[in-house]
Order: sequence, then C-alpha cells, then structure tokens
Amino acid sequence: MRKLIILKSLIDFIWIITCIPSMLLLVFCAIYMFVEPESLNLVFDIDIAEQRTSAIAVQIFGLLFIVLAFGTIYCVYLFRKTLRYFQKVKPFHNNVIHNFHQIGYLLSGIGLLSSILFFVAQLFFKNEFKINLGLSPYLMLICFGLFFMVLSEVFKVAKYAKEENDLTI
Amino acid sequence: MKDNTKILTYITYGVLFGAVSVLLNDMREFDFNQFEKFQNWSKIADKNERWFTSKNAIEWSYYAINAGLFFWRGYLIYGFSYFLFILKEVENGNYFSDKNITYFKKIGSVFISYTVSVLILRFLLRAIDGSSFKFFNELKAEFTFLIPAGLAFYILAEIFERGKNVEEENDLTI
Repeated sequence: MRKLIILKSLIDFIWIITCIPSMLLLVFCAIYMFVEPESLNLVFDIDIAEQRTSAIAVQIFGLLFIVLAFGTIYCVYLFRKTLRYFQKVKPFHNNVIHNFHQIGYLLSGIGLLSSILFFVAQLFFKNEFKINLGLSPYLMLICFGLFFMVLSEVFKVAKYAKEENDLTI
Repeated sequence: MKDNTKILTYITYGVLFGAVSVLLNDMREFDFNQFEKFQNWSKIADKNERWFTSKNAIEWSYYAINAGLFFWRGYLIYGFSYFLFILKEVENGNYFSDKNITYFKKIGSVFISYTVSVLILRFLLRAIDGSSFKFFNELKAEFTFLIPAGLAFYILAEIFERGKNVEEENDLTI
C-alpha cells in the first residue's frame, strides 16, 4: 500500500504541476491562435503567409490538437479518480471498470487520431508524405488504450467472482 | 476482449521488433563513430602521457557508460516482452494466475530500475562531457512516465493477487 501512496502523490504532482497549467495554456492558445494566426507558425513550423492553404485550415488543425491534448489530460484525471477507489480498497468497483474502459477508448482514439492528424498536417502544410513505421508516442498511446480495455474486462471478471463470493453463505 | 488482446499482442510484437532494431542500429552507429574517434586519437596521441589522465581514459569511460545505457535500453525491452506472456495468460483465460502477478511485479521493477540507473549514467556522462546536468530536465524527458507506470504495475500485481484470492475462495465454495 505504500507504493499506492507514492503513486497517488506522483500523479497528484503531475496533475498540479503539468496538467492544470497545461489546461490554462491550452485555453490561452485556443483563443490566441484565432487572434494572431501567425503564432501557429511556431507550432506547425510553417509560414502561413507563404502557404497556399488558408489560415483557417491551420487553425482547425491547431484546435483539433488542443482537443486531443484535453482528452489526454482527462485520462490523467480519470486515472487519478481511479486511484482514489484503490485507496478505499475497492479495486473492483463499477466506477473503476468504467473508468478503465473510458481511459482505454480515449487513449486508443487519441493515439489513432493524432497519428492521422500528424500525417495529414505533414502532407498539407509541408508537402511531405511521411509514414512513421517505427516507434512513435501515438503507437504507445494506442497500446496503453488497448491495455486499459483489457484490464477493464479482467476487472469485470474479478467483480463477478467477488459478487458471487459475497452472495454465498 | 479476445479481439483487443489479439490486437495488443500484434502491436506489442511490432513495438518489440521495432525497439530491438532501433537499439541494434544505434549500437552499430555508436560503435562505428567511436572506432573512428579512437583511430583519430591514436594518430595524435602522446605515448609518454600517463593512461589515467590521457584522453583515451576519458574516451573509454565515455564508451563504457554508453555501453551501460545500451544495456539498460535492452533491459527495458526485455521488461516489455513480459507483456506478451501476460497477454497470453489473459487469452487463455488465466487472468489471476501466479504468473501474471509475478510478471507485473517484474515489469514494475524493470521500469523503476531502468529509470534510476539511466538517470545515474546520464549524470556521469554529463560529468565526463563537462556539460551541465539538469536533474529536472532529465527527469522530465521520459522518466515522468516510467516511474508512475512502474508503481502502477506493482499496484496491479497486488490487485491481481486479491483477485486471485477471491477466485480461489469462489472455486472452493460449493
């Protein structure tokens, strides 16, 4: 259980130091990129003035990336919430299973969408046809998503076993 | 669930294969560069100089630390390979087997030992290079993720142990 306390503290630390400021920063970026479209040059490493594509297309891409970043932060929030159930010694609670399932779907979706978006962004803004067949963070996200889905199913089995066990006298 | 497990197994195989090939390629490239450096050094080396203070000694320690870093990367890949065994057990329906509990603990220990060792080795490498070592920058790179993941696997092992006990009790009751 000491490990659980350390993990909870670490996740809280990441949540406070990284996630909360990131959320504020993302909201700021979402507004600022519409006020000053040229600020996106830094993010996408392109020059909007020289591009044939309109600034709105770049802004939409920027917005989509921000939405995906919010999705990732939400996953950290769900994981943090799940750890609270572990602390209450309720590892097979319905919410834990539901949270794991949700994290799984979100992470695999974010991984898949990010890789597609990245590919399309490269194609449209840099005129580069790039497919990354090696290790990429998006692939790892998909892996983790699937792993969480499998975990939720395994926890469901344990929950049924526990329920049956509680019902027998 | 079987579908998810199968997809995950295939992806894990792909990740492991990719990681091993990247590691081998990095090792080959590093070895080649280092060999060139040694060759260049041998042309200008002062033979009267003491070995411990020579550039050669520094180069060798740099070489040894990098070899250590490669070893730990290999060890991390070895840790990842346990996922395959876990997935196999899950696919066979042995969710809360003793093997799974052991594998989760092993993955946790591999992640944590990798992080700590690589942090120390990188510090030594920076000391040899003479460049500044920024603890938080190093920690931020990949380690923010690996330590919590290692701890999470330890906790999963404990939860699976509990699941195993529940299942055993359930099987014993008539």
